Amino acid sequence: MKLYNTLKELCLCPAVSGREEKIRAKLEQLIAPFCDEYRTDALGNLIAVRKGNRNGKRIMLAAHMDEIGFLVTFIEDSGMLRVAPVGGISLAAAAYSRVVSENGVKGVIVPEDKVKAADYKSEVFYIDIGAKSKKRAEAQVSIGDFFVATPSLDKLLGDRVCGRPLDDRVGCTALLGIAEAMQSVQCEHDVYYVFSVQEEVGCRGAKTAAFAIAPHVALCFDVTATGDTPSCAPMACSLGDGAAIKIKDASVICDEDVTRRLCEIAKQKKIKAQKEILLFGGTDTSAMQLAGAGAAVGALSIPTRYIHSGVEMCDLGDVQSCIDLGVEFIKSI
Amino acid sequence: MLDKDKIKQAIFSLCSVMSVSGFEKRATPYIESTFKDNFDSISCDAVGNHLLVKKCGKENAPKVIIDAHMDEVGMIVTGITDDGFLRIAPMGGLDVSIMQAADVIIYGKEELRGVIASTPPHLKKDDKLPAPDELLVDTGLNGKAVKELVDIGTPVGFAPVYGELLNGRLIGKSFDDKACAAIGICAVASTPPEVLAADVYVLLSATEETNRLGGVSAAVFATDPDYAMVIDVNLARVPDTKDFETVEMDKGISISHSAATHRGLTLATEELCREKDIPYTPVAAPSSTGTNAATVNLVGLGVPVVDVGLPLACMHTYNEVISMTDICSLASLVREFISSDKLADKMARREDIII
Repeated sequence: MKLYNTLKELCLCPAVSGREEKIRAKLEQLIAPFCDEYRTDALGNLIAVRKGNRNGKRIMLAAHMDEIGFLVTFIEDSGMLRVAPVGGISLAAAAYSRVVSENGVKGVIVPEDKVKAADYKSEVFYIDIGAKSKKRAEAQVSIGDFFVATPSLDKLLGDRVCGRPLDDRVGCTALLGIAEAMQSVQCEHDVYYVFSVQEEVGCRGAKTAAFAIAPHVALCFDVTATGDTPSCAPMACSLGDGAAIKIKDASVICDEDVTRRLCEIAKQKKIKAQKEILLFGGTDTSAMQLAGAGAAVGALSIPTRYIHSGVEMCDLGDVQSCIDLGVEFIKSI
Repeated sequence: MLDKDKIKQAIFSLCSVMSVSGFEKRATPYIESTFKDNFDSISCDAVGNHLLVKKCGKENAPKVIIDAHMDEVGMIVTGITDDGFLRIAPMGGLDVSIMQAADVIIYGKEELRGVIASTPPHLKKDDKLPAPDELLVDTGLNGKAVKELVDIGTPVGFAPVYGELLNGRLIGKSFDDKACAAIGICAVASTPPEVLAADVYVLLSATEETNRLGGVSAAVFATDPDYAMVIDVNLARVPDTKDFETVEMDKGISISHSAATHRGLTLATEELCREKDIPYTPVAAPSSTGTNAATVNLVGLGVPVVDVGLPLACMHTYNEVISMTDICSLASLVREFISSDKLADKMARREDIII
């Protein structure tokens, strides 16, 4: 229940890449009780740290707080808004969905009438906020404002939840869960909790944060795809089968020692886990691996169906497994 | 003197050690035990980059990196079917058309031999190639037995088989880029420290084949060199390639002219080749070299880099072809490059950077 409430609170706080102010303020408030200090860097990353003793290592945990969305590029005389996508928008998933602006203006995003689904590109989409004219629209919206598909979170059967943006508020939820659990753990290491910006536009935030921290070990918490839906591409990863220990995605090959350790701990501590090889898509893991002089990296992914749609779905049991495994991993170092 | 046979054996030996992209650390014991007597130190960083350091013994000597990537294209196990076939995905740019029926090694709890399954021509309905995620490896074992030895994430490589053609041509796998790595190591190892013009860092870098930018940046950042040479293979001319996209074999190495490399260092390297009678071909790589040079160039405060290529045919297959003549040219150049006081004087950073 607690996980659900935290996740919902985070989902309902829109923050397109580059515009993470609100979610950062929310996360600051939530992480503050569990860390010694926190700061925001020049790019906007929220970097919180719980200090160990001087002999410890630097362990960095990261989850991105930005999400995909749209920026208003032009307001037509009719009052319709033209938009540009931020991040990997699936237009098929976006078509005919409800959207909301950073200032709470509601609308719908739709393709021009005669365009067939196969011909979707962002230029044929517009947002209709119900304005009768450009003037009326301008009273509510400015060029550069962002819109997102309406955030939501609902409970489905069992521990499954559905809504958006699980990518990657579910990772942020895991980080908060780990930070809270670490309260009762004596740890000699400095543990950094980083809520990164601009992951959806190319893993940018984690790069500067990792450069500043120069971690010895870094773990990324983000969503991954699954191979458990009808006629999908083969992938040995399923909702409800536990934390997905990343072997690789298209941006990174994780450190073998880190993945081996994660697998061994999961087995020892009887934490549900599976291995993940994601053949497309990238994560902050890659940015952390190659910042500065490099770090040993791994990732605990939350298996998620229908990523980048308005109906992302995950299993809260898997989120709990990621938290448990993350905590035990830190304790093992 | 450079010993041709020694270089050849070093190439065959290093190329036989599994280092599928992302699994470079598995080669650490081999590298340490094989080369420890020839270098002052050998280390491996968090990313899998290996650094072999040979000091020249002078105080405040400049630092030069000789980079060759040590990872090779290969495969990774992504799933295991109930009847024991391994599902695989390529690690790096593999051509599906050469993969079916290939002899592979699965580097699991034990090394297993396998063959990539292939549909015989009699049963094929059309000429279409399978998608990479449709390829399966047959180890001969059933599902239960294979799952005990192999797990998801296990690297798979083409079986290492080496040989020679006529006219000094070598054939085998992962000459890209471990042949260059072996040549670099031999050239540095055989140069006496008193001849060196700088402290030499032979960098066997990680994940060039799978990461757009390469793991090289981490090691270059940590080393902070004054100048660098990146050696990688280049596409050799064969009958169905265009002349302007390829370099001729047996005519020496290639030297890139590119926005991603250092103009002064490039011209000085060419001059060095001419002085020492080392055959080379200048090639144009306008905006990027397609090698680690383009990454090295931008690390930290920026690194002057020259990009040198060894012509290679049948790239990214299990029968890559290189020429002994070109190998010797490359070895000679590396040796002259690290021994040139003129270059070291020219490239040494003399001032601290003041912001």
